[in-house]
Amino acid sequence: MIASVVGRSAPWFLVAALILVVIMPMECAFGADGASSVRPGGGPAGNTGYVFAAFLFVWGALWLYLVAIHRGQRRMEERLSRLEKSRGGDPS
Amino acid sequence: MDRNRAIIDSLLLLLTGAAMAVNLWLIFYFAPLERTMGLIQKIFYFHVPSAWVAFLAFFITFLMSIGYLASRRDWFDRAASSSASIGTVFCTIVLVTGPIWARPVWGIWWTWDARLTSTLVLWFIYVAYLLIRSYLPASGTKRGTLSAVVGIIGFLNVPLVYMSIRWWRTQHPQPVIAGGEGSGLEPRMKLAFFFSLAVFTLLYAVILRYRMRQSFIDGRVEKLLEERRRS
Amino acid sequence: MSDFSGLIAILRKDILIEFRTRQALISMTLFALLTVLLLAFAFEPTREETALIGPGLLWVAFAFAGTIGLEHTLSTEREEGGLEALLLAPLDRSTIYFAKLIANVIFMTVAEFLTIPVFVVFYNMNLIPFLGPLLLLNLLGTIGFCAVGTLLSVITAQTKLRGVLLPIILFPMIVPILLAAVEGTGALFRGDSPVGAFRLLIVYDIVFVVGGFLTFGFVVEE
Repeated sequence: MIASVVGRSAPWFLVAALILVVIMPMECAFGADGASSVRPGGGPAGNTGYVFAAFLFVWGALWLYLVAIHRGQRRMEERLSRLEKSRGGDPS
Repeated sequence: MDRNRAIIDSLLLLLTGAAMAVNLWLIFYFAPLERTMGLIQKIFYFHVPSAWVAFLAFFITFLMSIGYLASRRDWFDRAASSSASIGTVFCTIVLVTGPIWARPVWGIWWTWDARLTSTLVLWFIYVAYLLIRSYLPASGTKRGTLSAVVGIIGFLNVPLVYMSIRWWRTQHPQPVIAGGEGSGLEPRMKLAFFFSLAVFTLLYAVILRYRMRQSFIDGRVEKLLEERRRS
Repeated sequence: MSDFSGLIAILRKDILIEFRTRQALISMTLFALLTVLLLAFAFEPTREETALIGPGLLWVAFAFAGTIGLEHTLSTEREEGGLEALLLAPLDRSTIYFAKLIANVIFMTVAEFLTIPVFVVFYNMNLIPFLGPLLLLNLLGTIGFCAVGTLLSVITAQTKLRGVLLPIILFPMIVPILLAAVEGTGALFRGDSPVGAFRLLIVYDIVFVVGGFLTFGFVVEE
């Protein structure tokens, strides 16, 4: 059930997830006024930590989503091969 | 055989996860902060690799479309359409990150510049490709053949669109990687950038793999349904 | 039957049908004129502004009208089962493509020739000094438009939505034509050399006529 739902809507989840990957952290960068906190001479700016954390969170979610797709596909393939065997006749 | 594939898949997923984490660290802590643009410059490490992946994906759609027309093997059709859908997603990312960066740096969200406009046109072409494909019958060879033709014709248009739009003066930053007088990246930035490029390409490959397998599963389900309808 | 005489036969058939019904020409021309009219109402441009945006307006009108024409030629073929009959003829697929392409170019050019004088009157423009290059520019643009359009209209006609998808894929594809025509005409108005526009249009025409020639056989199979 879950596998089929994940599988069916996979492209749209992917679109949403991948856009989130970028938009959400950048909102953070904006909200915490990214550009003005530059230290002359380089080195991480004050809010680098927040942006990094936001990116880490969203990229983590994306990765977990990939894992979910992976598992869903495995389950689905198993069920499919069972079905294809059970319908009798040639297993081609 | 099947067991080997499972192991490869798990390893690939773990590798991707690790690479993604390292990539973020490299981008935010290893690469120095750009002096004038500050934190917003970090978007460059996401924007440019996304653009690269989008173009790569569309190029692969083009090659696989030719492959399909030449061989009529379903595998090519699956590769072409999967690649096009992933390319469209990354193209969307390019179009979203661009204005976010341009607003604080150029002071405007959008400009009708060659690279921006051709990316937008590209996005429209491949959205149309996916739309046409979704309205073609899944059974038989018609869907594969017709979308392959659109995939080829659409890609042929890319250089022409770019050439034609270049007549307008271009505001997009010149490529800083390619070298040239006064250009070039700081070495640590360069490392982070190329690592990011590699990670995005890896991400593309992994997603493509799953997407193709998904459409293979779709085909099998379709076949079973067809059989039930007939009996 | 040789390919050339086959091409002439198809072309003659299409022109004869069009000459008797005049459906495509009337709808295309009226549509182009209405677009020009609407845009004139919407912007009410002065003479200087016309020189700036005129070519763009004209080509937007042509693109809309051309889409209508492409849909029309195909739907008549489909209704009467004409395309199947054509495919049964002992002709190379590319011959059919070229015949359809030439027919579309002819119809669209005639519609353009009928629209341009009205445009001149509405917008108070004097096109006489550079009429030659302007018409050549239009012809090149029309060839490119029809080369892509003929192919894509056959593709979109096979989708569940029929013609609805044609402009969605056709308009992004013709961006180079639109820009070249606009920039070329603008250069003519300013007295600059329009060579760049001509070069781009010729490259575009070659790429897509050859592309259509090579892929049309796949599009009409079955």
